[in-house]
Amino acid sequence: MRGIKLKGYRKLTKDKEIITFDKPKYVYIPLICSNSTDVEIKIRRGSNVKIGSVIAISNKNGLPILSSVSGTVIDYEDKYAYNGEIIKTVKIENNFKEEYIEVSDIKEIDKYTKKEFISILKDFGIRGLGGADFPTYIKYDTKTSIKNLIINAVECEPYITSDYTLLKDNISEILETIDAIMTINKIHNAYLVIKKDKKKLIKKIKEVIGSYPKIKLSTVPDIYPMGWEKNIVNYVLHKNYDRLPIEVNTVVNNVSTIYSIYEALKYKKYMDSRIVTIVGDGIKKSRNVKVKIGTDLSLVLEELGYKKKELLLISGGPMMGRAIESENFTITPNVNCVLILKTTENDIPNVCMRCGKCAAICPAKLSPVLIKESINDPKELKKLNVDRCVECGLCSYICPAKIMLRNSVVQAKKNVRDAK
Amino acid sequence: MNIDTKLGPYMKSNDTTFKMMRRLIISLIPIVLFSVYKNGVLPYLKGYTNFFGMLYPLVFIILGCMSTLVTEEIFLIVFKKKKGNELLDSIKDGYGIIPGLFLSLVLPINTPLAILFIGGIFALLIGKMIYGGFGYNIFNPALIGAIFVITCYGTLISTNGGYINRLELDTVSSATPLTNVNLVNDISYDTLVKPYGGISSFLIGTIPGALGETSSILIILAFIYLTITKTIKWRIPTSYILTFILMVSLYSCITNMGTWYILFEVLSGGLLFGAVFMATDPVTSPVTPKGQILYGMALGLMTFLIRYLTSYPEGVMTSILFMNVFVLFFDKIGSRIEYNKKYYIFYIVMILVIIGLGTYIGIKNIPNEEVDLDYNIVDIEDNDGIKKYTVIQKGFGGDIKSLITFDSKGIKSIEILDHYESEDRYKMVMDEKLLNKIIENQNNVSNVDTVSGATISSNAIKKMVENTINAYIKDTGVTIKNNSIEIISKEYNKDAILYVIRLSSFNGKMDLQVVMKNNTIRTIIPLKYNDTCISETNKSEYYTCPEYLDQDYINKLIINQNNLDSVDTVSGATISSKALKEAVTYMKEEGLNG
Repeated sequence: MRGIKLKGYRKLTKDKEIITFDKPKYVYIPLICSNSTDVEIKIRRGSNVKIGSVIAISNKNGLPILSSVSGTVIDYEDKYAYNGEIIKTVKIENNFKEEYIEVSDIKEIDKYTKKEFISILKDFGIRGLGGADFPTYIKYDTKTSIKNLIINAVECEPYITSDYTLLKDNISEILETIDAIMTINKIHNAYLVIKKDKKKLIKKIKEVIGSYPKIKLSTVPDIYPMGWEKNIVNYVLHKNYDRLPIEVNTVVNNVSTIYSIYEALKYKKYMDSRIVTIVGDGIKKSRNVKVKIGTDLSLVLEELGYKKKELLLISGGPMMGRAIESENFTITPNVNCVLILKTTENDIPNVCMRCGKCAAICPAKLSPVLIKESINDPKELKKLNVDRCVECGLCSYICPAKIMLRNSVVQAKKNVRDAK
Repeated sequence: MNIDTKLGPYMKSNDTTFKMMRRLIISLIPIVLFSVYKNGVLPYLKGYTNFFGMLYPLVFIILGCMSTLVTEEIFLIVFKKKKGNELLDSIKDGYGIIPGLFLSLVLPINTPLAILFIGGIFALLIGKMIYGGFGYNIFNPALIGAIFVITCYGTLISTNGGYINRLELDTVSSATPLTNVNLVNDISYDTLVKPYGGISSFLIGTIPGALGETSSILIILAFIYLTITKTIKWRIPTSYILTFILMVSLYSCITNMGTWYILFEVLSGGLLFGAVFMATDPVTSPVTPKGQILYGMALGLMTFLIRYLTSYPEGVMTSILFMNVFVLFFDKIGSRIEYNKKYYIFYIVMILVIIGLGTYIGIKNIPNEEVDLDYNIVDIEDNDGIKKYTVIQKGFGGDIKSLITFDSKGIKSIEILDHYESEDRYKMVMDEKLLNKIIENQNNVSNVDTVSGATISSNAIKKMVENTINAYIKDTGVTIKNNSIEIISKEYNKDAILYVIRLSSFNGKMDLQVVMKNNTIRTIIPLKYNDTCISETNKSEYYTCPEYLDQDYINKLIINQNNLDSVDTVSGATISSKALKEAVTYMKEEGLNG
C-alpha cells in the first residue's frame, strides 16, 4: 500500500469545544446532488417549507434535496459550492420554529426490512458525507451478498477533525446504527476503522464496543491516503478489488454517513446540520462548527474572527480540496472542512528530471509523469488507466520540480471522457 | 474581496530538484575524498610522488567538473542567449557540474587532463545539450563522455599508466582486478584476490581502478544515504546487483568457485558505482517502479554477458548506455503492468533468461574432468601425512597394480605390485627408468617421453600416476610442486631477494640466478648449464647459446611474467625454453608463498 505521512495540524481543532451555529437567518440550499446539477425543482417562490421538505429531486439518481430549516422560499441565488464552481441555490428565510415534516411508521431501529431500509436511505437523501456525495442506497441495493461493513472514520487528510468530533460525541449512536444495518442486511462482520494515533478515542470506544461482539475496532497507521476505500479494504481485510468494494462483498461507509442513517432510521429525521472543521493560519479561532446545511460561510467566518485580507479559502482538506474564490459559499452536506490559509507565493515549476517519485507514490499505481506527457493522446491515456485516478494530489505534493501533476491527470481524465 | 486562487494541493513536500542534486553531491564527497587520499596523499606519504602529485586527483576531479560546467554556460550564452541572472541560476542549480564530476570519477587516473576536458565537452554537447538540455537527454552524459574517451584515447591512456597510480605501480600489480580475469590462465583466489590483499581491500577500495569506483563500502554507504533520503531510484541498483549476484552465483556454483568469487565479481569493475550512480541517473532511467526493476534486471543480465562472453572491460558502462535506449520500453511495461497482468510475462521471461544463461555459461566453463574408466583406486592409507594409494590401471596385457606413496613434497615412490605385461616390455620400461622420470617430472607427467617399443605400457603407467595425482589433489587440496626445481640459495639484499635455483633441462641440470623484488622477477641470469646448441665453433662447457637462452627470450619471460601463456617456446630448443618458463612460474609461486 502506497502513501506518505503528512504533517497533521489536527491539534488546532481537536478536542476544542464545538461552536453551534444553527440559527442562520437564511439558508441557501444548493441544487446539486452527486456532482450533478441536473435536478427537478419542486417548490416555488413563496412556498412554505419544513425541515425535510423536498426542494428538488435529482434526475440522475432520484435522490431528493431537502430543506434544512422551516420557513419560506424567497428566491434563487448563485453561490460557490464545494467543487469551486458557482451553482444555483434556493434561498430560504428561516422562521426559527424548527418544524419537521410529519412522519409515520417509526419502528425500532433494527426492525426494518431491507426494502424499507433502502427506501428510507433514498427518501432522506442519504449521500456519502466523506466528500464523494455518492448515493448510499446504491451501495446496499445490490444482489451480491454483503459480508463486510467497513465504517471509515480514518480522516486521513491533515487539519480535518470533523468526523473525529462526531464519533467522539456519538459513539453509542453510531455503534447502534452499525448493529442495526448489520441486522437488516444480514452482514456478519463490521469494522470501525480509525487511526492508531487517536489513543483517547480508541480507549473510549473500547469501553462500549464490548456490547456489540460483531463490531470490531480496527486501527490503521497515520498515512495519507489511508482513508481511500481501496486502502482501507486492503489494510483491514487484506483484499484487493478492481473498481468497487462490493466486488469483495464489502460496503464502505463514512462515519458521518452512518450518523445521518441513524437520524433517518431512529427518528425519520433529515440530518439538517453537520460538523465542519474551520481551520487554518488565516483565521483567529480554529474550531469545529456545527452548522445548518446551506449556511452562508461568510457568517460563520465572521463569528470565528476572520479578517478580509489576502487569504486562501479551500473547501475540503489541503490535499483534495478546491479553492473557492470568495466566502460567498454555501455549505453542502459533504463539506467536512473549510481551510483558510495565508497565501504563499506559487512555486515556479522546474523541468521534470524524471525522478519517478510521482509514479512510486501514486496509490492508484498510475504514472502521472507519463500521463502528463501524453495528455493529448486519449488512446494512450486509456492504456495508462487514467480513469483510476482518485485525485488524492500526492503526485503534485511529492514532485520536487513542483509540477502540478494532479491537474494534468484531471485534465487527462476529461480528455478521455471527451474523446468517447 | 481579494483571494488568491491557485491550484491544489495546498501542501507541498519541501523537497526540490536542487536539494536532490545537493544530496547526490554530498553522497559523493566521501568517495572523492577517499580517491584523493588513495591516489594522492598515500603515494605522497610513501614518497612516490611530489606535492603536485598529491593534489593531482583533486585537480583531476575539479577539472572534470569545470569542463562540463563551462561548456554548459558557453552553450547557454551562445545558443540560448541567456544573460545575467539566468546564467547565475544555471550555475547555482548544479546540473552542469554533475556530468563532469561523474566523468572524472569513472576515468583512469592517468587520463591526460586535456583529454579529460575534451571528454567533458563531448559529454555535455553530445550527451546532453543536443537533446535540449537537462531532462531531455536519452543517454547518460557522463557515460557518453567516458566511452568516448576510452574508445578514442584508450591506448594513449594505458601507455600513460591506465588505472594504476604511482604507488600501485610499484606495489600491487599491473592491472585492475577485472582485467586480470582475462590475463591469468587459472582463475583462483590466489591469482585474482590475493595480489591485492584479500577481499577487504576490495571493500575498502585499495585496489587499482577508476577514481571513484574502488571503495565499495563508501558506495554502499552512499546508496543507503540516498535511499533513505529518497534521492535515487533505489529499485534499479537493487535489482541490478541482485540479478548479477544470482547469475554469478549460478556460475560459481557450477564451476565450483566459492563465495570469494561472487564477491570479487560484484566488488570489481565499477559495478557498484555504476549501479548506484550511473544506472539511477533520473533523466535516463525508467520512471515507473516495475519498469525500474525490469531495467535493473536487464542491466545485470547484460553486464554478466559482457563479462563472460567478451574480454571487453567496460561492461557496466556499456550495459547502462545500451539499456538507456530501452528506457521508454521499460516504462511502457511498467505503466501497464499494474492493471494488465499479461505484462508480467516480461518478468517471467527475464528471470528464465537470467537463470538459463547463468547456468549455461557456468556449464560451459566447467573444467574438463574426464573420468578414466580404466582406472580404479583399490585402497588409500593415511599415515601421519604420508598417503599410500593402491591403484589399478588397465595396461596392455591386463591390470597393472601399483602402490604410490605421497609425502608432503609430492610423490615419494611408485612400486609396481602386479602386472600382466610381457616380461620384455616390463624390462624395457624398467630399463628406461620411467618410474624415476615420472617422479622427477611429477608436476607435469605428460611431458615424460614414453618408452619406444612399450608405448602402451608406459602410457598406462603415466596415466595411472596422473589419475592418482588428481585424486590426491582432490583429497588433500595440496598442489604438486615442481620437483625438478630446487632452490639452492636465498639471500636478502634490502627488499630484494637473490635466489639461485637449479632445474633439470634438456641436458642435465641448469643453474639460474633470479632477483625478486615485491613478488616480481627483476632479472634472470643463467649461471651454469650443459645445454648445447648446434653451434660447432665453440665447444666450451659453459657457454651462452644464443638460440634458446638468449637475453631476448629471458626478457620476454620477465615482461610477461603474469601472462606466460603469451610467450611462445623457442623452436629448436623446446625443452630448454619450457624449463625456463617453468622456472619463472615456480619463482612466482615461491615469491607469493614466501
